[in-house]
Amino acid sequence: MKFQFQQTLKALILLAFAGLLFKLHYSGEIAKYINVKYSIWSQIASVMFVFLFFIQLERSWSHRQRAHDHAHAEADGVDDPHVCDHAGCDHDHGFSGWSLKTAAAYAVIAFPLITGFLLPPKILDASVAAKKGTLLAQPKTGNESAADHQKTTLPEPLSDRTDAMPPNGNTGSNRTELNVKEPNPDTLTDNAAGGEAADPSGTEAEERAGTWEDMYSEEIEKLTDLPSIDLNDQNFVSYTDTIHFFPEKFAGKRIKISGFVYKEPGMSEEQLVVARFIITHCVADAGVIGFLAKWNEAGRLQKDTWIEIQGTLGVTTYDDAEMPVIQVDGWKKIQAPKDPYVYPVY
Amino acid sequence: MIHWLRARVIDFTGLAILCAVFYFVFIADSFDFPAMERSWFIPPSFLSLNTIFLSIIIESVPFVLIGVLIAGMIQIFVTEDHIRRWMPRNRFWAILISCILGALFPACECGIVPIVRRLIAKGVPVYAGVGFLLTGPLINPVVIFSTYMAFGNNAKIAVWRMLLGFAVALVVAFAVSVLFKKNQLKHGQTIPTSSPAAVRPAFRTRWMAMLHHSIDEFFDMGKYLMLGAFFAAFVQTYVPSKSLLAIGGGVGSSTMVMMGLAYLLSLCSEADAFIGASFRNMFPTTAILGFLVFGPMLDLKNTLMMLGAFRTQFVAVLAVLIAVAVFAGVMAVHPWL
Repeated sequence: MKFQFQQTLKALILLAFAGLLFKLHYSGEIAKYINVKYSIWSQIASVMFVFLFFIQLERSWSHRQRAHDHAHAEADGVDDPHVCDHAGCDHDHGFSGWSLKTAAAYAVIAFPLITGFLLPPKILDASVAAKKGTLLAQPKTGNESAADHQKTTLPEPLSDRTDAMPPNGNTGSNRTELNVKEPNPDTLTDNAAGGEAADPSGTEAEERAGTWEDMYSEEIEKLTDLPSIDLNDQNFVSYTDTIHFFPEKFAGKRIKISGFVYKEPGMSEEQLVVARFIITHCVADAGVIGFLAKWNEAGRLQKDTWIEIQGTLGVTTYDDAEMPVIQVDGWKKIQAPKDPYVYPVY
Repeated sequence: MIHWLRARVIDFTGLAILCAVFYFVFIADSFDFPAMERSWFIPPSFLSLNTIFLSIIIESVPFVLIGVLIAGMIQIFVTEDHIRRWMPRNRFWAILISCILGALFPACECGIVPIVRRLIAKGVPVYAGVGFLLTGPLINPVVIFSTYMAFGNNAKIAVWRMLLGFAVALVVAFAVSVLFKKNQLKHGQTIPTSSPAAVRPAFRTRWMAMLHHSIDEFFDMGKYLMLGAFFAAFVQTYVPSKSLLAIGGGVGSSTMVMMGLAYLLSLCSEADAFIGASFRNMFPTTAILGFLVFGPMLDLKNTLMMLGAFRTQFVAVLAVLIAVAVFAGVMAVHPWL
């Protein structure tokens, strides 16, 4: 019997992966990494790791009885010469000796295990939001991009009705004259019904706005019928999405919302964003969604403070983009919810 | 006594490992000092990075495991003769069939790399492998459904995504067939003319060999997955996407920005539709389509995995081909969007 250290190490790593996944599920901390709706997959993975551990364990000691197999196999770095023909077998089977490269490979594989067991998960906060920047229905980014955005975000006056290109479309010389035209701010509200501000002008744009509107019509009707819009974890995503797409349809409506405070460099003292992170699968695909809020006490609030606000919806332009704003008339600090994230509704 | 110990030495090794893992799962945490104290010497931003890093791994590991198991099965149960018989002689047919197979085969962009590597090692032409590699993660029911949902129950974007993705895969696979002749695997093995396994081993032995292969494949591909996930998490934590978004102005540049974003974020193809949709009010639909088509085909995470499997030069050329094809593709369909 010969002890195979690398094979044993592999077995240990496999079981440790199963253990880490088990621990995260057992402690409920998995919700800080992924959308629990998909937790079944990592549970399956955990079971598969346990199974592979038992398979791998057999290789931790090599049998002398099969020495004639292995004399050949080890020489070639192939563990089972009968079935593993040399052609397709290009990976390291762990019977070869140690080198810096193999050690580094195991270190890389084991790295998430070490950090996973030893470091606590961190709830995403405003500093991550600042890096993620402009995700779903979130105010346009800082001022430096405002000039760039201006052309695309402001719909062109109906100067070229049949042209599907955005004002500064760069594909044809016949369109260059459009680039010089200054977008007329007056038309902003005309086309705003489309809500799809980033898109082109003219009839096609209107048609398209129509399609978006059709898609959302049911939701719009439901929301406009409500006496006041009360956002909770369940409806947060769909309501926010709808209101951001058609801000002017909800102007004057009462709204209540909670989230964490997020501010951008370009914002005024009175402005802040009441934000939530939306998780589709895992925190890596998290996006920031929320509402721009405005009132004179906003400047006093630190970022990452959880607040609940009440107010009236309005429409504003921020960085030349039209978006809903909440004129706040009541607010309070709240505890961060147990599950700080919101999830898309399918 | 010694004989008894020898017979059970594997059991004891297993027990020792079990104890070690048990310690970490159930006990180690209670010895831990409070999280607050830890953040003194570990900056909070690293904790964010680590959380994102682990979440990518937790999300992708089930699919990587499925991928390596399938790769193991291919290694043991599919012979070069099978491939020779199944693969159409005609290059165009081979490309078309491989793209269709990829479309029918549900996989994610990290799980498919070991499978394709194994197929190519078994004698599948590299262009057919590429077709399969590109359509596998992009065109499958989960992706279609999530795209449909993310864009407010509208099939238009989902349909465009699939059609354009398929077209790009065909074009790239064809270009690869013109540019590359050899199998482009990292270690550059050649395909033997006859299988050395003339005598078929017992069924159980073959299954065990398959599982052993899968494990080795996991360790082989796993390190690239970890590195890719770590880079992606690093970018997400420390690089503001604002700096990228600031470049976006016209259709062309905003499409490039969105494709760059898709590359760096390394989102799973099943989850990227919602993120793509969130840029609707900022970028033209064309740019968003670029994001949706490019991301599943090529991103930071799967580039690293491909570098582990294929020659560097091949991966670089493939990346350029995909980027150019996707960009040209979305620009071509722009008038209809």
